Amino acid sequence: MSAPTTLTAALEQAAEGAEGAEGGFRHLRDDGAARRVSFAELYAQARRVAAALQGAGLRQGDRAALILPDAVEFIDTFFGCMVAGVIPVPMYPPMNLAQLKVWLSGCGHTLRQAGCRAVITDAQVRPLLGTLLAETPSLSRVETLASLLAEVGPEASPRAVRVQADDVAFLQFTSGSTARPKGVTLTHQNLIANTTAIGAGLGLTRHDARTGVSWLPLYHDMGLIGCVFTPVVHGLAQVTLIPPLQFLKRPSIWLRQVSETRASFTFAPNFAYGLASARVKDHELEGLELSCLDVAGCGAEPIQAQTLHRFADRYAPLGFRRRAFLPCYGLAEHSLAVTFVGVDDELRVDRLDPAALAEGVARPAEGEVTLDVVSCGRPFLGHAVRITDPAGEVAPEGQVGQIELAGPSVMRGYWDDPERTDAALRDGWLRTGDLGYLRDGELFVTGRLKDLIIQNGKNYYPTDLEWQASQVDGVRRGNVVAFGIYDAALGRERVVLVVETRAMDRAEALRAEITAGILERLSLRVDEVVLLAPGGLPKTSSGKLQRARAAELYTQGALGQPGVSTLGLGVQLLASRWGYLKAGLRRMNTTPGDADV
Amino acid sequence: MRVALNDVADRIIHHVENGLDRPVNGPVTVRSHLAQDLQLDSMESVALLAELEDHYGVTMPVQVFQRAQTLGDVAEAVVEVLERHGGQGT
Repeated sequence: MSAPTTLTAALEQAAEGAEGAEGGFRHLRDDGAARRVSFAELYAQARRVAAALQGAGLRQGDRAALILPDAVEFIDTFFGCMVAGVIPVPMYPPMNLAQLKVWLSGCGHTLRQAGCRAVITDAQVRPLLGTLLAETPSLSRVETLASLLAEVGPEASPRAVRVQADDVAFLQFTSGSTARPKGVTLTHQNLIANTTAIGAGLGLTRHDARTGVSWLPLYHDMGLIGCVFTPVVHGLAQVTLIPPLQFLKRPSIWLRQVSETRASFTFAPNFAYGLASARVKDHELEGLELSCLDVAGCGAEPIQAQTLHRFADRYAPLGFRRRAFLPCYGLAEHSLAVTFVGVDDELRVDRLDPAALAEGVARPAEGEVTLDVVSCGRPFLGHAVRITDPAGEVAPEGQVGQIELAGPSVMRGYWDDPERTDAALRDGWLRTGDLGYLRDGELFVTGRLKDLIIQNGKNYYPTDLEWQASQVDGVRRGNVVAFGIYDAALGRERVVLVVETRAMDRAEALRAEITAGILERLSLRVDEVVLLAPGGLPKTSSGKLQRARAAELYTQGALGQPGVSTLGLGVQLLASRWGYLKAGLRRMNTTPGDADV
Repeated sequence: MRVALNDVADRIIHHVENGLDRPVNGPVTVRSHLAQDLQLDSMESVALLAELEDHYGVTMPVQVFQRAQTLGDVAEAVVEVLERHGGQGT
């Protein structure tokens, strides 16, 4: 049997024979029951969905947005689209009514950028979509999956569509809140290359009998590519999918599923390991046994050695092995994964000299004060990683610079956005906007050039926070900067907003209003609002605000000086890792991410 | 045994006052707005549900927060869930 070159062929192959009837997904429902969907069932249902899409007039190459909170419906429809050659565009569902307006506006931007012809959703979301149809010229249908399927019989088969390796498989939008969202365009060949590499990194075999558990959302690359496509491509025996909100409510459900299904694999961002240490009570752990876990993957946001060690300390008595941790680095523009640490390898942590690092040199610390950076392992076979300096020259080992990638997993580009595609892809190399260094062939990620704020694995653009804060009466419009700084006490990034105002007399009310506005519109809680008198923010000679400089001054407690310091207490205690790095690497401020408006 | 709305509300208020890993501004009451007054995010919201589950021994669906604006709305939604389960509790 030859290796499949498309995801549709991979599903067809996974569905064959006894393994196809046995292997597949196990969906945990909200009520605690589980529903199994085998690869054979998934393939049959995908063909039915494909026939329904064709019946609704969708053609090969059309884009269809998927707003489907239910994982079974989402996966059926996703593969249904691909069987019909339709390009699925996964979108995250609305969280609650309070945020509906913002969510709808984000939806509109994405639908227009992707030029979607159809939205496929469910009966709960359908009535909320309101005027979306009228506001999106390309959109001709908003359908529920149920209404589409009602038009075709259970045995319906689609007209044959020739799907090829270099056809676009789907569009992954990286942020839903900006006015110009970027649609990462991935081909079947990209996805086959990346899932094959992931399989090799994990030592997976065809129809591997070992099982996995994931609570990751399916509109996120790690959930979709890592925990749905990879199992399909390798025909894995079973992956249990937990609804993300169930995990957030009771993180122990993740560990319980691992224990009960004797899972070998799980993947999650750093924050999930923190949550599972802090928010799980002892009585929830009764009967759990975690020695089955061979791989506890960690990626999608900066990895904190301390968080992982805390998790390992807590769960070692239940059999968890520290060496199960598998740090990895990846990003949507590279399909998903870039580097993996070897299975069974110990965590490798570089304890660096902060002063040297601020100068862009990764040198072991001699003193007590260190900055700990976790190794993310080595690049995959057939893929290349290099580090470049601000001049674009390849940097030597141990020197911090921009991480650049080449190989079959690199995206084709951003959908319908040649300008930002050209900025990201140069001479066959993807410029990630992330900073790191190589040592003994291993990649250490130290920060990012782009000023993203990452909270709980989600990306937030500072411009969105700044715009929102500027809407508040009393804030000097446009004189706002937002940044995230790692705070060891919080175990995550501290979200700081610095605002110029003339209304110091009502400081508390102003802070409350800014914080509430951002929480409501962006679902992000600001940890601290620093108020400065007009002119207090650092600007370039041309009057442009300097986020990195503001963050640096903040960590030094020197923001807005001379004058009354409005900083909260404890700032000096912050282990301001990103602050150090950004300060030292200020000169490296040319990046594709800077084009974000 | 029926669970009184007041008991549930007190429990929720107590959690918001003491159970978050951050201080909350001003008095916390049933009229406190989830976003504007308390700045409760989705993670803290679901953590509150877990706390209520532990106390009442009843599964709290994540939908409890979907239509709520204030802590009082949350308390009412929780009482509905408890009554559907026969309202056992303390």
